[in-house]
Amino acid sequence: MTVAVNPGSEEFRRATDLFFRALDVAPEQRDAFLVGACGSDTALLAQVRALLDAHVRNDKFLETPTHMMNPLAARKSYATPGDLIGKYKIERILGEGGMGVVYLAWDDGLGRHVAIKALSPAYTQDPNRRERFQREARAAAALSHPGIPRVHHFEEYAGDFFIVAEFIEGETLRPGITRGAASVASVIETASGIASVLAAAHDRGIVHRDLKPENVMRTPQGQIKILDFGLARLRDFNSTDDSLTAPGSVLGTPAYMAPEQIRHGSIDGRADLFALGILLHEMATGIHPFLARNPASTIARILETEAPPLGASSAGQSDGAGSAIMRAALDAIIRKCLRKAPEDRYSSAHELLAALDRARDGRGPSGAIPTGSPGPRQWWRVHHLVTCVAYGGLMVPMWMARQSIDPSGSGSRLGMVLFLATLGAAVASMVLRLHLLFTASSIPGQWVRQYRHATPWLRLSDSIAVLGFLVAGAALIVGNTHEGLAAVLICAGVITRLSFAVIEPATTRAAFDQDG
Amino acid sequence: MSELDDVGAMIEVTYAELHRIADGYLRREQHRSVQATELINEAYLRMAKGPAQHFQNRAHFVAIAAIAMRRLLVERARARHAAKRGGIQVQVTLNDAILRGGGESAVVDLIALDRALDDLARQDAEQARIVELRYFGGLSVEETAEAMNLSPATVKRHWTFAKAWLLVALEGQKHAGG
Repeated sequence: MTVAVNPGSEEFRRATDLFFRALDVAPEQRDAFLVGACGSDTALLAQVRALLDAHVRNDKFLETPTHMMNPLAARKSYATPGDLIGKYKIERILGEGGMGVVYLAWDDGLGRHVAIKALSPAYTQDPNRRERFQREARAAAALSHPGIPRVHHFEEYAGDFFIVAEFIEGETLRPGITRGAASVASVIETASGIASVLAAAHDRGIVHRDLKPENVMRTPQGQIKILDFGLARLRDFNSTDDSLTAPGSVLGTPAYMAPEQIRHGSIDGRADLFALGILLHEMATGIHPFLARNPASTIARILETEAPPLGASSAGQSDGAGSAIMRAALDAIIRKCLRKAPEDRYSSAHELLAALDRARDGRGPSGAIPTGSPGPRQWWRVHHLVTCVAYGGLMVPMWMARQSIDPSGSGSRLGMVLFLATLGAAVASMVLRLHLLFTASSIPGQWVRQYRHATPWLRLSDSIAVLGFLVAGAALIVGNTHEGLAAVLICAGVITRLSFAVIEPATTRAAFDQDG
Repeated sequence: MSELDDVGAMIEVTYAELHRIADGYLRREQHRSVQATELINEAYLRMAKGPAQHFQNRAHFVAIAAIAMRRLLVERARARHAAKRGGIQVQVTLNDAILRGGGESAVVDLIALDRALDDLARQDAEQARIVELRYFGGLSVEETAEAMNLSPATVKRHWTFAKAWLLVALEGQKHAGG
C-alpha cells in the first residue's frame, strides 16, 4: 500500500503542489523532474507518480454525472411482435415511457390498427390501485373529444394490464421542436388546438398533469391529439400509499411541472396551462425556458426564474410586420401561462383560448390593438396628423418654387412635373396615414394586415416626397433665386427624412410593440 | 460557516425522506426496473417539496441536492450489496452498486467511491464538495464555481486533482480488499 496518499495535511499539500508542478513539465521529462523534486522522500515520489499515472490513464473517470447514467438493468418486455394480446396482434413498439411500453397492434376483427399501452406492474399489481386506475382511465376515455384518442377497452394478459386505444398517425411535437423555432402563427394555432382540448377536459374535472411535447401529436390533417390524458393522475395515488410507488411518482423529467406541482402536488387545470406555457415557449424559440443541465437546477429554475422573453423572430421566418405584433401578443400569453402563482395565470383554458384568438387576429391580450399604453398611442396619432399637415403646408412653397426651378429659364415644365410628382407622393402618403389612423381606432382586428400592406407604399411615397423637396430646394439654390424658399424646402426634406428614420419607428414601436 | 451549518441541517431534514425513497425502491424492484434518472428526479423533487422554500438560492439548492443524491445512491448500493452477501450469490459484481457511464473506464463502484470521498474530505473538504457537485449534482465546472464561490480555474484544478486522487484511492481499496 505504498501508492495511497496517507492522511496528513502536510503530505497532501505537498503531493498536490508537486502534482501540478509536474503537469507543467513536458511528459517525457516529468519523471526526472519528480525524482529531483522529491529527493529522498520516496513515499511522496510514489504518491505523485501514482496520481499522475491515474490522471493520464483515466480521463473519463467521474466525468459522466450520476444522473446521466443508466443502471445495469433491463426494462421489462411485455410482449414481442407476433404475440396476441386478446384479439390484437402486436406489430411493433411505438414508444417507451416511465409508465410502460406502447405497442402498435392490428385488430383483425375490425381491420384497423390500435395502440396498446402496457402498464408497468407498479401501477396495476395491487387490485385496489388497479381498480382506481381503471376508473381514472375510463373517466378520461369518456371525454370522447376529437382531440383525445378513444380508449377501446382494457385487456389483461399474462398478468399484465393493457389499455387498447385509438392509434393516432402523425408525429408528436418533439421532432418539430428539435428542428428549431416555429413561426408565431403555427405556435398560436397549435396552442389553440391544445387549449381547446384542455378546456373540454378541465370542464369535466380532468387535469392532464403531464402535458409535454411528447404527449401532443399532430395528425397529417393537422389535428391536435393529446395522449395519456388522466393517466398521470396515477401519481396522486402515491400519496396514499407511498412506500409502494415512490419512484414511479416521477415519470421521466420534471421539466414541465408547474411550481405548485413540484411543491405540494395539489393542482388543478392551471398546472396544465403552465406546462402549455413551457411547451409554447419551447416551440416558439426551439429552447426549453427552464431546462438546465441537471434536474435540480431545472426544478430550481421552474420555482424561481422567469422565462426569457421570446425575443425577435429568428431569420428565415420573418413573415412581415404583422408577425412582430403577433409575437408580442404570444409572448404576453406565454408569460401569463408561466406565472409562478396559479391565480396569476389564466383562470381557465377557455380564457386562454380567447386570448389566443385575439392574438391570431393581431390584437393583444387586452382585446384592443396589441399592448402599448395610451401615451405612446397618442403620440403615434399626433405624429401621423402632424406629418399630414406638414405635407399639406409644404405644397405651398413647392407651388411657389415651381416656376423658378428650371435653371435654363426656357420654361417651367420641369418645375411643374416636380411639383406634381411631389404632390402625388404627399397625397398618397397622407391617404395611407389617415387610413392607418382610421384602422387603428375603428377596426383594430384589421390593423396588422393593413399595416403590413401599407408600409412599403408609405415608404415609397414618403421617399418620393422627400426627394421632391430636396431637388426643388437644390434647384432654387443653383438658380440663385428664392433663397428663403430653398432653405425651407431643404430643411423640410431633411426633417421629414429624419422623422421617418428616427421618430416614426420609435413611436410605432412604443404604441404597438412593433418594429415600424 | 453559517451556510455550512445550514446545509447540514437541510440534509438532516431531507435525509429521512430520501431514505424512505430508497427503501421503497428496494422493496419494489423485483417487480419493476427503475431508471436511474427517474430515481434521481424523485430525490430532487422530494427535496423541492420539502424545505425548498427555505433554500437561499439556486446554488444552495443544487448543493444540497448533490449531497442528498450521493447519500441516496450509496445507501441503495449498500442495501443491494448486503442483500447479495446474505443470499446464495456470493458473487461481488455489485451490479447495482455500479453505474455505467460512457465506456468501460467509467464504471464506478459507488460504495468504494463514497468511502474514498470521505477520506478526501478529511484532507480537503473543498475538493470533496466539488466532486459531490460535479458527479452527484451534475454541475458543470462553471456552475460548481458559482455554487462554491470559487473561480472556475480553481474548481478545474481541484477537480483534476480530486479525480486522480480518488482513482488512486479506489484502486488502493481494491487491492487492500483482495
